[in-house]
Amino acid sequence: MSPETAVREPESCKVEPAAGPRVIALQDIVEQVRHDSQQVPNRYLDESTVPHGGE
Amino acid sequence: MASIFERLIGLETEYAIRFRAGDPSAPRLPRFRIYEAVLAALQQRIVTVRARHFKEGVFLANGGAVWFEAERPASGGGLIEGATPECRTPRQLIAYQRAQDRLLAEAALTDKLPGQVRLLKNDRDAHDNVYGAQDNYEAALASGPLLWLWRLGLVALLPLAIVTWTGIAACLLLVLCYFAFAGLVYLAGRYLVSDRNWLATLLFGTDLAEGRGTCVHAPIWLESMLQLAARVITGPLAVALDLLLRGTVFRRIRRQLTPFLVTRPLLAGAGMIDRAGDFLLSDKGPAINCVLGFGGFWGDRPLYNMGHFFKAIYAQAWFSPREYSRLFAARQRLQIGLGDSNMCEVAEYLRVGATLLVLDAIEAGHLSSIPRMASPIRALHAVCRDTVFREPMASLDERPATALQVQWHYYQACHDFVSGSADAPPEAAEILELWRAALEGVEQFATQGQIPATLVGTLDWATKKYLLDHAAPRACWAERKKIDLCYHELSAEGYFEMLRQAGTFPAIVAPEEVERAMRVPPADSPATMRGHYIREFSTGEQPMTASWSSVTLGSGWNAHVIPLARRQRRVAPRHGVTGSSTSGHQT
Repeated sequence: MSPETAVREPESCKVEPAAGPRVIALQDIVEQVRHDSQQVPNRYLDESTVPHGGE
Repeated sequence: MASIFERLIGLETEYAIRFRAGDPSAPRLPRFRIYEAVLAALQQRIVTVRARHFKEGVFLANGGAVWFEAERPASGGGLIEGATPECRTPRQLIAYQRAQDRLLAEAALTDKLPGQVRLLKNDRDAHDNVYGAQDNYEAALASGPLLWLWRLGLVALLPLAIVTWTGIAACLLLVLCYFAFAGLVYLAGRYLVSDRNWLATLLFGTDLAEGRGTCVHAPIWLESMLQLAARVITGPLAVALDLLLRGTVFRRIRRQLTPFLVTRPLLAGAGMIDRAGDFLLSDKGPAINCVLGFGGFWGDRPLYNMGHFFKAIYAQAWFSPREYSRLFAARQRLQIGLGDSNMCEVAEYLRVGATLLVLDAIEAGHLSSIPRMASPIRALHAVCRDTVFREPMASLDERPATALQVQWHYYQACHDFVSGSADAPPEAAEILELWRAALEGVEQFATQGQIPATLVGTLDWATKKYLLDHAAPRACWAERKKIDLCYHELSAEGYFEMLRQAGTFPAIVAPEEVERAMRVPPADSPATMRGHYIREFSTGEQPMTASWSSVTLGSGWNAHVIPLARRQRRVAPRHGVTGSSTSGHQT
């Protein structure tokens, strides 16, 4: 079959490979992290301060 | 024949305490009070006994320990430090580290405090205060003339040590005199001063009504003076011991292991956002400022921490001469100060496992060609900043080498070493396989500029960078720093814990192994007998205390000290977390 006669798949029929469960879980967590990191970040930094550090 | 995974190993981890007060206007709760509440909750989960140690703490029935670590207790700061029991294999050690993380994280959920407590397993806060983790490996201190030089040096140090102990005793006497005087001043002054709390805080460092719960034993000004006095009194001993250590101990290991450790952040770095907003591979690495030191005595933060030698002489040997005699042993603890606190099991496994293989190869005389670094500390700082992995930082066979090439060099040497060892355990091959896969992943990142999926959940710096790049690529510094810190929070809201709960990452140890490690000590270790005694005698009529080297039943003249044997009869297969058979133990 020459390139000219090859049947071309219509654009609308192209299907993206489905994201695996790992990718979906990661995307979910990235979204949660994005949202949570915006919640009073300075308060979080202050609460977790360790004056003088350690060894 | 070469020995692989035969030495004792252990991890120490300092956990930062995050406290959210129920009443935001309430004064900051001293960290010691939080430690006490967490400890009380921990004691509901596992049997403990008081530690005979210079830090406030307990030993657990699984052989590990928990301390309160504070550089300046009068300031109200401090951390919770956990130490795993002494283990034999990397896999066993990871199980005990996970068990410790879980025990403490669950204890932190205590409802006995006026607010929410969470622990962070990390190395640096938002204000650049540094703490974190250390690895401990039993290793050959020296051999031949160097070992005898070390022992002669210890004998020669004894008069200086006695002068130091006398100075410390005199200092303690003065402190007692001060408190007697301060007590009299308080008794007289409380009728003259309207604010008694102010007077108590000035004289004793704490409101007397708060009592022991603050762990403040002196006012801040007296604490500062005592710290200065301690440095002056112990200074000559510290200088002499420092010279002796540099000249004699772990010389071959230091020469051959250092380039590996300097480039180890590629495998075990936790990643961090610095003050300028840049991403670095390691959060503790940039704070390391010398190759060898006592860890804080001179403001030093060393790659090899020799502080335990110093503490053994000035703080322990004067009431226990046995501690001094232990320093003469040919094999002793090598403490590595550069250790990021890992959340990824694979990274933690590689941090310990790869280091063990390199140490085993060094002691077997297998490493011939060693990468050379003009300044290991400058190279380490460059490694931490080089997130494209292209900067040469060592020379290998007279040619410049990047951190990645140095790591490949050690990998290949260990691979050859394990292949040539007839009795190599299967775990060594497993570690080599993970090491190779990790280096290939880093190489892929270096060429493509994107974190490969295989590294997410495997290496901490890669996982954290993935979260930062995808969740907050253009966010402000505080938001990105929150991701950096909350990644390490040991709770359901911690970002790495969220990833772990999703269950899509490789785990090294099974949940049953962790459960078992939360209750039972490892076999073939001093922890075996320590755990056994704690379980059997902690609730008896006689008071019991424990240390790393012995347990003590009774007190005063009737105290019965039982030394813990370094090696127990082997009762278990080489792999997995193995419980102790208490029968047949040497006592």
